[in-house]
Amino acid sequence: MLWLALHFPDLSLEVFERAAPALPGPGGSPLPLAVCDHRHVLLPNAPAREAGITRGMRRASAQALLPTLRLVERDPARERAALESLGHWALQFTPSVSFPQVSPAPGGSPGGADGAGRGRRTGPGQAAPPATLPAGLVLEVEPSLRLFGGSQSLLARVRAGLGLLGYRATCAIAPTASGAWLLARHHDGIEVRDPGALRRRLDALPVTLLAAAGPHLATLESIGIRRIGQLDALPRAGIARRFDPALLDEIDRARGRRPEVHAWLRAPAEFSGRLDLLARVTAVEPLLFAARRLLGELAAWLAARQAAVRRFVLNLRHEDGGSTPVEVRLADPGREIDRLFGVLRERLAGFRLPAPVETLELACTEVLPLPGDSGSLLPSAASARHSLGQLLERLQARLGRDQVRRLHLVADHRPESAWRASTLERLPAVEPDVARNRKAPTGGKGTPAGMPQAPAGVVEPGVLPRPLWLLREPLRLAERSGQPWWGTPLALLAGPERIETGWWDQSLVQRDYFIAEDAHHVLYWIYRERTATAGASPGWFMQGRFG
Amino acid sequence: MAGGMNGKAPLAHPAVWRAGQLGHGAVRALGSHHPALDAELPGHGWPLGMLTELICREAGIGELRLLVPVLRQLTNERRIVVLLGPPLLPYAPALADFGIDLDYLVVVDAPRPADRLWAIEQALRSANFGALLAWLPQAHTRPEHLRRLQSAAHGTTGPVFVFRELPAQMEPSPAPLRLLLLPQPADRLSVQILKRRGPVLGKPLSIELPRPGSALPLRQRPAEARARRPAPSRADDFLPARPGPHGALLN
Repeated sequence: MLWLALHFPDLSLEVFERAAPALPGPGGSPLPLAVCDHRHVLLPNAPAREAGITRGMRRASAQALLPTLRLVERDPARERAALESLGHWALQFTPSVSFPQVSPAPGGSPGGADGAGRGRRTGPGQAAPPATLPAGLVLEVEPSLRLFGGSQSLLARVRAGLGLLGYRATCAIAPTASGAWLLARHHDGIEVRDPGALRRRLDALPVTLLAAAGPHLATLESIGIRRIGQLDALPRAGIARRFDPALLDEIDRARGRRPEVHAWLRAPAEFSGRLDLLARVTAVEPLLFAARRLLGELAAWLAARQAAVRRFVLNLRHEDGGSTPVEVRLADPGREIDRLFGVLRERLAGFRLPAPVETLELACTEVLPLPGDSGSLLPSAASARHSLGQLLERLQARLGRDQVRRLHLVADHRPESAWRASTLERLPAVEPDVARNRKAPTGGKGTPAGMPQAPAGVVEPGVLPRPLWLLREPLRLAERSGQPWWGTPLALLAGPERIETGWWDQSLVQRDYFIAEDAHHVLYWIYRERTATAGASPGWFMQGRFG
Repeated sequence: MAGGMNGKAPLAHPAVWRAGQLGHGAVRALGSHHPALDAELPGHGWPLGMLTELICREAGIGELRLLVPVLRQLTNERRIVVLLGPPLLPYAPALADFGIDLDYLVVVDAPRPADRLWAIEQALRSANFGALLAWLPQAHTRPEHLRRLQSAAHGTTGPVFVFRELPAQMEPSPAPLRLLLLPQPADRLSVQILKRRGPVLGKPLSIELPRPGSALPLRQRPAEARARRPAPSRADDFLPARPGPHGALLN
């Protein structure tokens, strides 16, 4: 078994900062931000560190040193939610993901998500903090190494994915989960495969990394125990009596002498993501940046569940409590983040926000099972259809769903009703082996319902041919000396064809149709309204053009 | 035979042609089903991977009927034909009557000029349609838009037809094939090749336009027709209309 441990040292800060690339501070320079508890600064961000703010400084001194510093209270609930969503994100690499097991020490030491093991500030007067999750994950990756092409390539993918979500992690690989967790907290990028090497590495680690050693650090220091190896060399009964049995437990688990128990994470049945924006957003660009983070989580969830999404809704919550849903549909189900982001970007291009946005929520409504494609060397008809589907969904996202249409025939004698347009939902089959045999009706798979085949002569024989172009509204023609007139006199070449129908639904049509030609030899389809019916007075109208 | 002696001998490389010859070798083409036109087009058909400009005064003079045979061929081969920004409504019964399969026809409307140019470029980049028929917004198309569309059209697998209005014939354009279409009597279309890869064609071609499956021969010209047309108010209006020898109009 091989374990990959991820430690998130800046989690408290990243949960606030990840929604925006760089929060604008006064004067346009990046905003210095620091996470603090009620008395001290816990974690300053990069601009704050450059200005001299350090960890452990009092709040008042930090504020005096840098007046533009913005202090936010640490939010354990948000960190917990972020860790859970990170755990679900990690499920795309392996099904065995859990939080590192940290045995709770009886003194209530803060072995939690504030940088475990560095709890120098626990004093006797401080209340025990609520039970928090350790800021990291452990993944069992040995079965996945082959799929992802080795440990280095897996690490590269993990780091890239975390960068996309807005987090930074230090990673370590070791044969035991607790050992990997200790190594990850010590240094980034350690890889140990063999238990003997693990022992040597662990021996060299400082005892401050052990969660259970928190309250006893002063004592350990005074007896000269600085390394885990030195602690391990002491008599075990003495440690248990004098300090804490949990210490021994932790070391044994790290060395592999004791089995570890994990509570495996499961991907949730439905995806819902939420991102709080630190600053109110009024433009679309920062919104897209934040939405990309959420789409990264969605893509990971889809990969973990081997599914693809067809429709998702991005809900923009405003500060007054209202929300604006933005619905995005895909022509073909998909789960690659670039494609989802491309469609969302086209959908939001030119979108006007009704109010400043405070929070983004992403809900995924239509999910279909879709196993991954196996690679292919040659471009296939399936990939051709894929790219055409993406073109149509991009067009629909930007122009509007109803602007991309297909045409259908309708069995009606009235010319303007003999057809209809419908929004394009799905592309027709492109592969040649789909059973729609045109040459001979095999009687097996017939045509889709309601769609007649196109034999020669859909128009019944004996009536005039129909024009290729129809005017949106019939155009009234002037009449001169008894002849219809449109720029030049129109000569009637064929007709009349009398269409008199539609008495059942209030749009009665009583017309004589002709094919007419003007002096420039353009053919028109015109009709003469016979009597004054509702909405039409007698006279000549043009309805179509041949050509 | 030594090619140098006789200027008419074919050159060694297919992508090189003499000014007096049609540049056939460099162009992949799809036959237009009009033999007189194919004879004068480089590659013997509508070129693929580049823009073909069709200039006409207004919609409906016959430009779509010119393309109907190739659209019929493409939709029957299950390749998708995209109509982008048509000026009027494409009438489905007529299209079906010509044998075009409506399942493979997609109509995209983009009223704003900027959106339409964007949509055309996106369609060209996706490059897997059977044919693209795009109506350019007249007032907003500048030469640099056309250059961009022409370079985006490289690599398309189907012909790209760009419809423009009459003033465009005076403007320069990077499209390698430009045709001016004018209507002619008796279902014919005058096609004048303004620009092609080859020698200038002096006189326009007269192409016969296809008729739908149910087409009836049109009558002769106006003088006769005026004599026959029904006057506005006559007792005939109240008789039931039927096909057949009703004034011998439908034969």
